[in-house]
Amino acid sequence: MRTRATASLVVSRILVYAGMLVLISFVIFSLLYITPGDAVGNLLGTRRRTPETEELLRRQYHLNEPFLTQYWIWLKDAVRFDFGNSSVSTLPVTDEINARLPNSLILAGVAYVLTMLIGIPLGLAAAAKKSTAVDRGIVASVIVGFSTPVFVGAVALLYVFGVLLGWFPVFGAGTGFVDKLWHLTLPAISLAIAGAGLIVKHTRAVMIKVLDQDYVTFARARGLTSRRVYLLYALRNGLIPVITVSVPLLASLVTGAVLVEVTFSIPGIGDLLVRSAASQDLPTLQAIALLVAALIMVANLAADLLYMAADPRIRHGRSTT
Amino acid sequence: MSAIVPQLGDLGKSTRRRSKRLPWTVLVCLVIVAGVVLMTVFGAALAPQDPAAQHLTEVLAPPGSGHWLGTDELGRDVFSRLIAGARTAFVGPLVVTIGSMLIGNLLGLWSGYKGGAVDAIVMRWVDFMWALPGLLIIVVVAGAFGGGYWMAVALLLVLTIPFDTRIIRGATLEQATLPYVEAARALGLSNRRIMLLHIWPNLSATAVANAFLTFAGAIVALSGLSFLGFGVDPGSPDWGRMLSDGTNLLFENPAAALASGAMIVATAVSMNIIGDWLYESLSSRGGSK
Amino acid sequence: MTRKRSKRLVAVGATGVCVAALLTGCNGAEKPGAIGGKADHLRWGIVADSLDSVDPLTLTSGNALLATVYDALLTADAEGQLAPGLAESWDTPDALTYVFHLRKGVKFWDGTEMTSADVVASLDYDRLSPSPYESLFVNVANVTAKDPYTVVLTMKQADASVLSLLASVGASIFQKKFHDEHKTDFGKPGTLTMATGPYRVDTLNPTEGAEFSANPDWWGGTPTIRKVSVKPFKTVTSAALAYRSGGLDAVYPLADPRAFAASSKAKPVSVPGCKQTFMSLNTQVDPWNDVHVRRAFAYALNRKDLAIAEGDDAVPYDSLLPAQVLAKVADKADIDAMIGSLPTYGFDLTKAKEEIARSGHPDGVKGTFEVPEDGVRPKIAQAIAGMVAKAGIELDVKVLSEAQYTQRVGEGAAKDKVQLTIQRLDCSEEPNTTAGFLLDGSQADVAYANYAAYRNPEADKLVKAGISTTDRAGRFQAYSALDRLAAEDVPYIPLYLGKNALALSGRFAWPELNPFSSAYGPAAWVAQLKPAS
Repeated sequence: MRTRATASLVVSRILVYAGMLVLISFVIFSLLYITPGDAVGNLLGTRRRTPETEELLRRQYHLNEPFLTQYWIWLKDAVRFDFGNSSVSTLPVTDEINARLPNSLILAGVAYVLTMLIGIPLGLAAAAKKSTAVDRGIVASVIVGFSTPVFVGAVALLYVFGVLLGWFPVFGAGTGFVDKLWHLTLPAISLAIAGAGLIVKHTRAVMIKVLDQDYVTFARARGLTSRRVYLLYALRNGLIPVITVSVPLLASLVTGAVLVEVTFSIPGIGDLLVRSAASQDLPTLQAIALLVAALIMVANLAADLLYMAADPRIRHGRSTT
Repeated sequence: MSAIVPQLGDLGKSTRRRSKRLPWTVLVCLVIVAGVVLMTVFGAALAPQDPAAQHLTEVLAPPGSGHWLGTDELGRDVFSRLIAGARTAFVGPLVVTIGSMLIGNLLGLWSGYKGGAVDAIVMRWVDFMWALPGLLIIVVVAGAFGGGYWMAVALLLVLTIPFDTRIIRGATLEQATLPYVEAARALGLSNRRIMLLHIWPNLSATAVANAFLTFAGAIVALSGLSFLGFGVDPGSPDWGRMLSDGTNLLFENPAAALASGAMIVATAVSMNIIGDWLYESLSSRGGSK
Repeated sequence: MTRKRSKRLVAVGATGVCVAALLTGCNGAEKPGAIGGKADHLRWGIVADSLDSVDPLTLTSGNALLATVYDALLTADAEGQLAPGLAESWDTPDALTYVFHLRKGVKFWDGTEMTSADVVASLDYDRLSPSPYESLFVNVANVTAKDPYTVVLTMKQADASVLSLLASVGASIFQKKFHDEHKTDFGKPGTLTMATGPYRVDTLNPTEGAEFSANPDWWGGTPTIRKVSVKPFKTVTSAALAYRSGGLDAVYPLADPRAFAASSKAKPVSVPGCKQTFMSLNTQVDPWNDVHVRRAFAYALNRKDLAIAEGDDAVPYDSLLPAQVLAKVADKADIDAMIGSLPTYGFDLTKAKEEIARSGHPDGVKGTFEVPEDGVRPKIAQAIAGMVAKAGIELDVKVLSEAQYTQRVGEGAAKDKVQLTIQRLDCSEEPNTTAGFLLDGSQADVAYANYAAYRNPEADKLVKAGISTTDRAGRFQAYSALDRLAAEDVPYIPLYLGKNALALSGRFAWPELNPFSSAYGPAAWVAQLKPAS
């Protein structure tokens, strides 16, 4: 009975997100459709305009069809991961993305792990030492952390650890997994500094709330050591919401990394996005938009599921996160 | 981008009352913000030199008596440009903050108070906006339409509204069940009156404090957009733009490159601290929770 | 949780803050001992968005790279004099016919021999495909193979500049069979190319760069450097940091040597040769169609200051065809005397305002100024906008991405061309490359040429006169007249002449680097490098 209810809730969430994904793809497609300038010119990119190439592109991208038909054709191809060719490099968009996606995913993954490793302990410490100098120190450095534009931090790290100390490579994404990891450490730290602020604030807030709960007071009254109470009761109840909040952060790290990618010369998705926007490379833009939207949807779905798993009340109450 | 802006509604509520005395950190922050406001209002009039005047024979001069922060790559006085640049750095986030506060508060109040279909529609919209890749939307629209500064500000505003809406709606939901709302309704007051004159004052701490955090987030976000070339026109004095132009000269004249970055960080930090402090002092004074 | 532990946590949290503080005190401590790198392996950095093609006509990868891969029929020596390349010798039976005798035994990378069929196919592709070179091939009627080692080029009309063109990247030779098999994806990463050059392309990845290996059978001798890794960088700063940390051996070409020097703590060297930087004003579009406005523009520019802002060892120049470009057709004294007699536009705001008052727009003019984001031109454009504003010329500077800019200047029709832009052109030893490219009226509606859309029948006649003879005096006369016309009508404003810069680590030496080989002609600069002893 209950599993069926859960299953139907999960299915409905998946359907909602799938619907939103289609909606987003439609919004992006429409936005680009009404872009000033002519579509053939944009698709031509650096190639020269001749009647033949123009005709070829019109046919290839169905530009003579009505708008909705164009969208439908695009969507059908998109489902098969065929997004046409980039108007700048003339390579298949899928190839362009495939060449960069691993870098972005590893970067986002490492940045996420670092964010949590920095954020959670600091948040716990701040909550445990609430209203002391420790708490204020942590909160202050968190504020400085997310008030610093990511690229400022990135340049600073690059200079100190890449150039002055020479501990890390200063450019590129490396080849092979271990090498990539090593190359992406500094960029990931730059990203994590900003993201960790969110996690610290959240962890701190949640833990303060949890520590105020009756069962914690009760456990303390029973004579359990505060460390035991902290780890056994508070942490278990406090961390789930923190992790849930952090999942969408993972998705935003994929595109948000663009500022860091530029600084460290990392070929990633964010860089491709900005470059294709600047050169009005519509096929690439549409594909990245869909990819990013899909990532965010998957992350949100994961967050919802985690939340459900963690908090039985959600399954019965309203699911407004 | 906006996802990084912390959610004030979830912030810890200090149970222990702080003393009413203004902490020195907040005082320093207020002074910084007041300085930035002065620079925004009077702009280039306060600058010791014309911020646009080029001296190509003295480019990238180090900080010295003639130029307090040295000169940039076109020999323009960095200090003067810093003062003139406060305007775009401050006004954009201000527009985002006020606009998002107005619209977000109204939508949040309405949605939280009315509930039902209105709430469902507003919250679906918020969910949708929440799921939109913010940076992507800005880059696509600003890139495709060649937007410039005000386009970036407008897009940032549109993307910020759902965050405010969600926070205010959450707070309104809490208030709507309280006896005083019930009482007001029993007295036959109009919904509009209840929302704006009875409920909102109890949310004002959240709303105002959140506005400061929105501002801090917006100033960082706009500087990022300038860094990517989606902000002000090249050549206009603007902190974000100066920072991105200066990144290439970081090793030649660090003062010129980092001064604007320091201003962005200082302003954003100040706004954050003031916001946190306002929230704590306002909510403990209200004492409703 | 103990007190000590919490303190440590605070320290971690504060790292971000400390790093920012450290930065303000950054002094360039040189890091000794470069990491990695073998004596016969060159790691070469290029400032470019990405490397996505080795098609010889690609616009994004750059000549320095393509010249490492492709050979042409001829080469240019250090003085710009033509020398044999894939063609061992050539005759000119009459003004409209060139006969090239191919070098025998030249092998493509796959071991097959290069013959006249390959040359004909390559040249047809080079001259007939849309590219910046297309307009320069305009006088070529056809290319035919007489026998496997003889190629005949027939002209529609005499063109003394065609031989120089055949020594450029625009006339690269590749294998016909390979091209026929890969017509649609020729030069693309998955396909690559098949040529005879000193280095063969092993891999090409738009994001990670390219790997080349030496061609042991190269007709010019086996290159000393066995392996080349090419890596694209988005900014000069990131390339400079990579160079500084020992991850790169060379950065070339280098558009912004000063920024590079500041970030890398290494001094780039000037490569002989020259680079013209000039403004173009669209003469078909209001208000730039008014010669007085153009002259006002020229008077309002302080070119000495602009040269300083460029930061290179740049020097202002006055004639559209500078002495370096004319060297082939006259002696230095004559050229200097001719250039000295041209009308010039020294910095003079009073005169600038007078010209504006005399123009059809006495109350001032407005315009759009479009430049690519190449790290230098946006800066110069802002400096120019600041200068001309004082003469009542109000400019809206638009910075385009490099791809967008290439697309923009590819719009051929005169009225659609950019209003104002800054152009950079490697000095060619052949004056027609500059003159025909910029002043020929028939090129006004052609993409990537005559940016000012300058139409003047007199100029057309002179351009024709310049190429229809090989007589030096006759050519010099034509180009002198063109220089004068350009100075009077101001479709272009010469700004300054700069040098090409190269950053090269101490592990390599370039005893006699040939400037034409690097900037212009196809003899690979990498092939001239040697490991330092």
